[in-house]
Amino acid sequence: MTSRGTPSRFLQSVLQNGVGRYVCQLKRISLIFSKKAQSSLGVREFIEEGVVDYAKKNPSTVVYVSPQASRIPKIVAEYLNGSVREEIITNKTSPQVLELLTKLTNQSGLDIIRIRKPFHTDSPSIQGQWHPFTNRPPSIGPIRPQKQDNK
Amino acid sequence: MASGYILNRGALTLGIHCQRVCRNISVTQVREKKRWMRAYTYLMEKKLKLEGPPPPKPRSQLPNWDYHAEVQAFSNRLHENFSLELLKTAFINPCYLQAEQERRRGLGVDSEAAALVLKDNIQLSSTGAALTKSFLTDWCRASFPSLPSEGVEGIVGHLTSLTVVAHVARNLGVEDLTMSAECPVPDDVIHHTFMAVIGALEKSSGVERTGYFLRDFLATQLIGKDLFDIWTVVNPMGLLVEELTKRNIALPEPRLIRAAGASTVLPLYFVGLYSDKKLLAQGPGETLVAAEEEAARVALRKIYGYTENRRPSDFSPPQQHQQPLITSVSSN
Amino acid sequence: MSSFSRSAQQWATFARSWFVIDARMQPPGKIATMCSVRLQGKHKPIYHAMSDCGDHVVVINTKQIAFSGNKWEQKVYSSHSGYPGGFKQVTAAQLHHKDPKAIVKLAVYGMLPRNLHRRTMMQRLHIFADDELPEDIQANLTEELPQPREIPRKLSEYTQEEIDAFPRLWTPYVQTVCCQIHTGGSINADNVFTHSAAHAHVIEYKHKHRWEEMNAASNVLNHFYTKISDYIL
Repeated sequence: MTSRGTPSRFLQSVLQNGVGRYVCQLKRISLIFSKKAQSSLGVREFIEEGVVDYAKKNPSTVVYVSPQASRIPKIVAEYLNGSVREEIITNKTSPQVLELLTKLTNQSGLDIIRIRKPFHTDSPSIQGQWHPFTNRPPSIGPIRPQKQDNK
Repeated sequence: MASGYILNRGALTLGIHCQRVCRNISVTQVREKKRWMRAYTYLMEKKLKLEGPPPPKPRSQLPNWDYHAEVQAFSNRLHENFSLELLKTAFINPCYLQAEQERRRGLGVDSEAAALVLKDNIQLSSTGAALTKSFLTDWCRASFPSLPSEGVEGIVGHLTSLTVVAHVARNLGVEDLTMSAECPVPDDVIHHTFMAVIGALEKSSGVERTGYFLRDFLATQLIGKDLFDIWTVVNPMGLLVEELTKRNIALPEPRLIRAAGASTVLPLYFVGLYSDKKLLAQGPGETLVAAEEEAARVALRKIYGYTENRRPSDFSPPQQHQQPLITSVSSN
Repeated sequence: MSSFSRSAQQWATFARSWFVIDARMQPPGKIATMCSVRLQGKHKPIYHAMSDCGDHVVVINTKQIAFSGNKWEQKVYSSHSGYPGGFKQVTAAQLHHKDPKAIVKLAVYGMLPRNLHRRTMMQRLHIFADDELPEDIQANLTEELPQPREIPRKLSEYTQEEIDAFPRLWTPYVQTVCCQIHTGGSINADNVFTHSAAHAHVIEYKHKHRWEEMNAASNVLNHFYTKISDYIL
């Protein structure tokens, strides 16, 4: 598919985040894994080693660890703007899980689709937007220019 | 058992469906096409079509929910030191208390044996709303000194309006924590709750911190907004005449400066407002009347200091802003 | 800076301007270049190929366009009606005589891009054979474009004083003398010098005096040349 046909948006942030203060947009994260399954080995390792450090480093995120009888371990990330992302972490090692978690923490929760331009502004011009009479003197006297026909 | 296995195997080899066999022997696992599945999914789809999607559940009734941790995280997320008790009180709306009491009565719980000991957030909300209004008014006066009081009222009214506050609160995760009777929390309830959160912040960290909080989360909503989108002025020319007479400047004279395509269906007129033969402002428009009104609006924006190229408001954090200044001076 | 409201700003930015070009004594190609740029909207900073942002152009006085060289006779406009034997060729002069708007129109049409916007853009081109404009078009005009070529003056437009003040290097009489000398034989370098000096003398003299005194001066020159010719021979 051509890039024109894919959904797209402008670069934006939630609630002008970062203008006043930065608010981490990830509000809640759930690690869903199995206690026995082979595919959750890395997650179990991560829960033993790194999850407490992660939670201490990010006090603004609530971390839930829920063992379930499931063959597919996953991370469910919920963001402040209400969007929910599920990431499947089958057969991922502990550092890989941590990497994924860091990535999810840094995201804003807005749709991950094509961004039309790598920059965006609400007031697009400093000098003022162009119009046909920019940098033209106001016509003096009669409105329309006089033709020099009758020389 | 063994005979069952043999029978089963025999049935399979014969190519007969083994359902009857299975009914007798529960241990046996049958691998076959689930022929009941199609009818079942069809039924469920039909049901979904008739009844619509199920009503949304509040987040607190879904799995993985720890209210205390959530409230603590909320406090940390905003980089504020809330007292958690006050914050929890701020989330309890009177409508929730009423609904809860009615529910208990319906269940037949004795109101004395298990009394509902919760305070609602009415008081916090009223203090929060008053503080918000006064702070935003002061902030607007300081940032736009030449704006008249009606304009300041318009801006404050916009910032404390139901839609803006509800939008801010929803994007700060207040909706999940709010105790409300209805599940998709209505705008007025969430507005009430957010004001209560501001009241709780004022009680736990003081007025100054609350001021910064309001500046960072409510005042930033002004970014990219036009003055007359926020503040409705019906007759800008009349207002401009008033302002100019107040400042003892000659009254504006509208003049047609430029025109293009006047006899087409897409004409463009530029009207300039001259006072004392000096150009105050110019404005484009589809008709002469619209262009004149637009020119008056541009002149008002210039007078009030709310042009698009004004200096941006200061949203820098309070302490960190001053320290680097001092260090840079000393290093030089 | 402007700081208009958004709707007004949008209206102003995408409004179509109306330009006038006076084609009197102008090469049609240069007129067509200016027209095609403005019809496509390429003179605007907001230009984008996907957005239809071209302006209107009014060309007046196309009856008085000026081709350079021998183009009126040599330039051929061909067309084919599609039927056998339907091939027609007319020279520029014939075409201009038949329709004074046609040359400019064809030149602009050839310079526009070959796409679906081409006919739309041509509809925004208004050509008039003389300088009479209808009222409704005159009301729309925004700006007059400068002519691409400075109109040269005819001899009849010069005053007598300007003609007199114009420096002359040659007179027909002196020329004949020169020819005689040149046919006479080869000249040494020294002689050439004296030859040109004599010329200079004549011109100076001519400027000082009037035409009546020219005869005397030429007599002097004649005398001089006879001396030279003696020397040569």
